[in-house]
Amino acid sequence: MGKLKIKLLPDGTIEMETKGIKGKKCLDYAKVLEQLADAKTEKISKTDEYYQNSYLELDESQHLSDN
Amino acid sequence: MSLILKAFPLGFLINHDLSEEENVSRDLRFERENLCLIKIATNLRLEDVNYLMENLGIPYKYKNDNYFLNNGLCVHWESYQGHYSVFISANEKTLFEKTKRYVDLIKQGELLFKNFDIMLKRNTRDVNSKEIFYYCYKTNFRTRLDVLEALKKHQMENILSNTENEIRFKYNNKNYKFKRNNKKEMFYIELEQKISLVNIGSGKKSLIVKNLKTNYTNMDALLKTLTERGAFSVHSDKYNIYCEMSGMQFLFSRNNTRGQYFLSVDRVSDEELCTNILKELDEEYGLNIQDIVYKKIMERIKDKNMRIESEEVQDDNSIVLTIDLG
Repeated sequence: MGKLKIKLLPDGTIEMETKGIKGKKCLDYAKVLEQLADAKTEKISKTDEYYQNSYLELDESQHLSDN
Repeated sequence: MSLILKAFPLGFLINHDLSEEENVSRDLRFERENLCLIKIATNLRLEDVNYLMENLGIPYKYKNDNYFLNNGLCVHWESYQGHYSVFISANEKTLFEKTKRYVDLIKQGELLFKNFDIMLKRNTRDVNSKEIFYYCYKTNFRTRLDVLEALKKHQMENILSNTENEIRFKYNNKNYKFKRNNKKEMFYIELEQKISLVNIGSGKKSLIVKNLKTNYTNMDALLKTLTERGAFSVHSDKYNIYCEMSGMQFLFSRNNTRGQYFLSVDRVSDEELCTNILKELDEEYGLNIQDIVYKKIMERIKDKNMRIESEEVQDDNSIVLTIDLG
């Protein structure tokens, strides 16, 4: 499965990057990190992995609704 | 130099005639005219004292660490744990005494310390001193009996007198002492009191108040940061943290228990010093948060069925954790 790369900066901020987690599911890990660190998400940047998989999911739902 | 007196001499303690009055009150004239000694804790070391005294144009060095200045002051230095305290008193043999004018010790003390600050380009007082500070005042009490009667009349507590020349008592939980060197002398009164020094630093008088919005939200981390930075008089409740550093008063406050703190710094005597303190607090707070978050993640990760694959501390002190999601 995927990996999380968590960077704890000396100014107290936290950065996280997901690896190998496709689509919207990667956003779930923002919540996981919030729970782990008692922190609040300030900003999310979507990577290629998010868009790539997002397109496929959209395609699938489109297909289902068509039927 | 400004002083906030937490205790002050009551008129009747200085002037015997006033002891007959029913309602005693603070008498500034008596305070000024009868003040005969002030002790000030400094951050000066021996080399500083020597430098200051040599460059102040001291006309006459009476004994070791005793100096008579031409403005009527007698300056005496005493070492305490590496730093010197200075005792400022009036030189009885000066022009001031001959002309029956009193030496204004507060004013002359201010000028003296202003000179010290300029000469050493820093604040020379020990603002963090927890040492008992004391003032001595002349009184017109001649006999031990007069003193004892006045103290009893005004219901002073814990009156103690083991010798003819010394009487101790308490008033409002503060210690006072009547003292004289021999029976021929009038008594003087010594007040032990804690004082706060304000408006200090290189002669700059300032009542600047800074109001800032901070990113601080974690009360424990903030308290730890302040303690590590050497803050004292730290008080906290659910919404506020108060402390003092370098003579400045810091109040962190917020309207709820999870929000950001607003900071108000009062009595900013030195803006550059204040900025440096805030910068240091920022850095230390960030490191404390980093430490807290690291510990939380390491503790909680096991429950999430995850595994730390690698851990790395980078040059900028960032910690990078790579977590395998299994």
